[in-house]
Amino acid sequence: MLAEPAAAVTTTRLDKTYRSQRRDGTFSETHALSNINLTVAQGEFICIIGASGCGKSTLLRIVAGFETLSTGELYVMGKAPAGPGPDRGMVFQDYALFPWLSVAQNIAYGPRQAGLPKAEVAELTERYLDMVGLRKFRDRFPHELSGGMKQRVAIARVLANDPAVILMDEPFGALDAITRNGLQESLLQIWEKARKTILFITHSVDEAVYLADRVVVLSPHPGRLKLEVPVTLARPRDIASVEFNQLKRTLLDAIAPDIAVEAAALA
Amino acid sequence: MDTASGSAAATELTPARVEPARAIAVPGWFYSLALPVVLIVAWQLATVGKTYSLIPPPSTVVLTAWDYAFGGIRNDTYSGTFAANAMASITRVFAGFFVAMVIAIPLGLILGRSLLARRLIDPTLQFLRPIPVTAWLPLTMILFGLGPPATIALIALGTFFPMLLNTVDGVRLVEPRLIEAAEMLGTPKAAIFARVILPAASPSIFTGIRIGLGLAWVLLVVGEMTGVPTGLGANIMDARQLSRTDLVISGMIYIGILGFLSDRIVMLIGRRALWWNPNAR
Ligand SMILES: Nc1ncnc2c1ncn2[C@@H]1O[C@H](COP(=O)(O)OP(=O)(O)OP(=O)(O)O)[C@@H](O)[C@H]1O
Ligand SMILES: [Mg+2]
Repeated sequence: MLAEPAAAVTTTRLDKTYRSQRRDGTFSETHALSNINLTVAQGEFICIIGASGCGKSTLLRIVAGFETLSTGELYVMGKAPAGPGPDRGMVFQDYALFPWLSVAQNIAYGPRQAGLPKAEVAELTERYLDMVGLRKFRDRFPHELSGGMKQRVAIARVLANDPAVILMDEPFGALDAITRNGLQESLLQIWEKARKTILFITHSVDEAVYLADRVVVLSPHPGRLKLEVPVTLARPRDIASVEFNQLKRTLLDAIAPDIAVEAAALA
Repeated sequence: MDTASGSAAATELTPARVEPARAIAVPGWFYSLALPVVLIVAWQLATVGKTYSLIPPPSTVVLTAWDYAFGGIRNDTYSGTFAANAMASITRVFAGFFVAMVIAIPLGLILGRSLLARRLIDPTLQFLRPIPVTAWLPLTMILFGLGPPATIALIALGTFFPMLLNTVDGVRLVEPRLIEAAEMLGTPKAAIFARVILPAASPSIFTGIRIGLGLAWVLLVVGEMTGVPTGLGANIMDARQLSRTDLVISGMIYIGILGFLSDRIVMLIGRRALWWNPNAR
């Protein structure tokens, strides 16, 4: 493990069972993840897809340190993390910006926690304000921004911390298609510049094939690693190309049975 | 705002200019004053010229209120005494409010954060809460004697609970997401409280402060039933015994005005401190 350059993220036989207390005092268990073996190289862009409830968020939250794993191992840059930390930045679907801080202050928050000198905090803030195109909105508060702008701030806030891994849980899920496309382009540009490792959850097969170096498919009950599909198409990708659609077909076929089960359960 | 082809670095977004709302050219206070004016006119029409009316017309009340404040009309024991009495009342209102605040907010922060503290203290508080302040009156007078300390204690008792409950709620309802966000951005565990929970709970705490201060004025008359000789509430109780309804109403109006002004001041402070919060504007 320590000999070769460490992978950004490694999970070995990772298992997660949620225990929740029922009203009558007894416990119910949910086997959310089973035997997840995943290795993410440094700088790799991974998309995770799968039916609802298959454990995508759970996996990401374990890597982030918000949840503990039940059995198995997790390494981030060769070390087992103890709890959340600034080496793993999370971009939430609902932004989770600090509403009492301005755009610039939100971005400066992480570097401040790290105790960087004032000048350096200011410089980082400016750089990432520019990178997400929000310089003119620096003094606005989160409630004064559109969803797309909020998510740009959330991305900048995480980037300013220079994390080894960026975790994104359906970050563009709440946005309209046009805003979403704009943010996908921005994210790819940022990723190409900064060469960060990204774990990105999405419901959209299109989004996964468009963004990822490798798409990971999970299947539910319990969440298992079902399929890994490398995407070697050159960027910018042509979403109308035959190859692109062949990859989509493969992935859609992989999740189709799980989606059908989900649909039947809801019916 | 965003464009399909837009790239992050290239698309520099520009804040939109806000058009001033162009409503009907009537100032807001015009609407606010309409109802009071109608009520006062109706009151005047219903009471003027009736010698045996128990309620004086507004014109009489205005004269009394003027005399109460500046003297020179009635030349009785209340003429020109408003300022001194108001000072006494303002001091008690703020003293009671302040005592309650410095206990309620720290206690609320602890209760909001600690399940153990909630288990220990909450049942007792919930039991004491429904007891009306008037019921505390005799006991406070035994404990604090006749005079201002009892008044202050009553006001503190009555304003304590809204401030406590709003603080507890504010702390308990902090979005767990925000705490997670702070953690993943490297906030030390010990600093989460000061850097996330406190600011996130501050609008709710502020609401408690506003309600508390408002209640302090509401409780003034009851509070000054403890045998204090001065104060607007004491004046009202004395005037009632003398059947000086005009003076009673003058006192009521002045308490209303002082309560309104103190709320405005707190609002302005809150609006500055909580500028980020759209609900506080
Ligand atoms: N805190 C929790 N306590 C108990 N069970 C949980 C908890 N969080 C998730 N689960 C369960 O774990 C399983 C996986 O949930 P998870 O949120 O990881 O799914 P997901 O793939 O992210 O779903 P979605 O696509 O709908 O977001 C589900 O069965 C869910 O009910
Ligand atoms: Mg999820």
